[in-house]
Amino acid sequence: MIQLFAATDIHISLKAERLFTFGPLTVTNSMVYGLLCATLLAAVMIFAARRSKLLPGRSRLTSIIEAITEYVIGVLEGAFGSREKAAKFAPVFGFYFFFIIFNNMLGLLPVVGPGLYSSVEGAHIPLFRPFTADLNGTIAMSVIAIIIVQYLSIKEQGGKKHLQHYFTDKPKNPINFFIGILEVFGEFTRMLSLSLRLFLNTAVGEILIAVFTSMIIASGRTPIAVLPILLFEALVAYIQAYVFTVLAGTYLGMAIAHADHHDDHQASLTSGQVEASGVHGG
Amino acid sequence: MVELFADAESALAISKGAMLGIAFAAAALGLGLVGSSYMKALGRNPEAGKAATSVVIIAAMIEVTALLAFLLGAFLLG
Repeated sequence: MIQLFAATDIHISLKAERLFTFGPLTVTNSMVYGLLCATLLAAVMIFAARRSKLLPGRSRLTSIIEAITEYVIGVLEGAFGSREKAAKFAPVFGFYFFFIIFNNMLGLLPVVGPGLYSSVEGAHIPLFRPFTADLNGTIAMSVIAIIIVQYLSIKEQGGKKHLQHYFTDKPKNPINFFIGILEVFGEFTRMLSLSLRLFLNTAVGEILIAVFTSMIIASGRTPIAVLPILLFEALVAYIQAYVFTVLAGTYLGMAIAHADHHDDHQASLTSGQVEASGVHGG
Repeated sequence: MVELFADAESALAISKGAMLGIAFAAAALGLGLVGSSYMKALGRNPEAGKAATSVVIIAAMIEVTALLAFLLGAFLLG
């Protein structure tokens, strides 16, 4: 059973709420919204990819998606250092950009969050909740991002060089060894910081909008004054997608660039340009 | 357990308020420092526009500390 704007009092919750149980699985409102968003995004992207062509006369949607993809590749270029690598890894990190910005922007619609209610066991539960405003969702996203970074790094340069990224090339040295262990723990810190940043920004934005809307409605006015906050949250949505993408890309870029840099160093040393490598090698 | 405050409830309210206030003030100061340094660098050397990526990332890192304090102070404690 679904109701529109059922409650006039404020509904704030930091965790996703249970809508129904499907076998042993508890389905929460953020899961419903996340699945809906993922399906919609996949449909839009597949549609745009089918319509994509070189000649003029292509559709506007394709042009928009291509422009955003071009922007993401340009952003990743800064993290990887070369356009080839950025274009190579763009599908992985571009997915995060598109998914987060799609989630957050659709999450600003009035029907998402405390707007559209469903009755569960007598209580009014919002039917949708932004997937990124649920800590489970963002932790899943950041854990998958870090695992993908590890996988791509091993695939790109081999397991030995991947370990050298942590332990340098002299792991017997106790200082290098302990710094390497710290670096490995750093990966978990990265997971935590990525997920907490995205979750807190989106969830606090939702709470801010809910508080302002309920305050204005309680004083008997039209909630048009919440519009600036909505625009601010749109900016936050974009910045969070950007930061997540750039940080995930930078983690992979750092893991890979180290090896590349090392290779450059060795190559220039063997070709006799010792002075030049001394300048670039540090 | 040693009772530090006679009135625990109001002490909690005051300390929550102080926590949120200090965290937000410090985060605002930090963001202001980042912005002012970036603007100074941009004024001295227009090439510094390349650093916009790092500026956004650092701003997001500062922001998350304020949001963590908000989470702790407004929801998790007491």
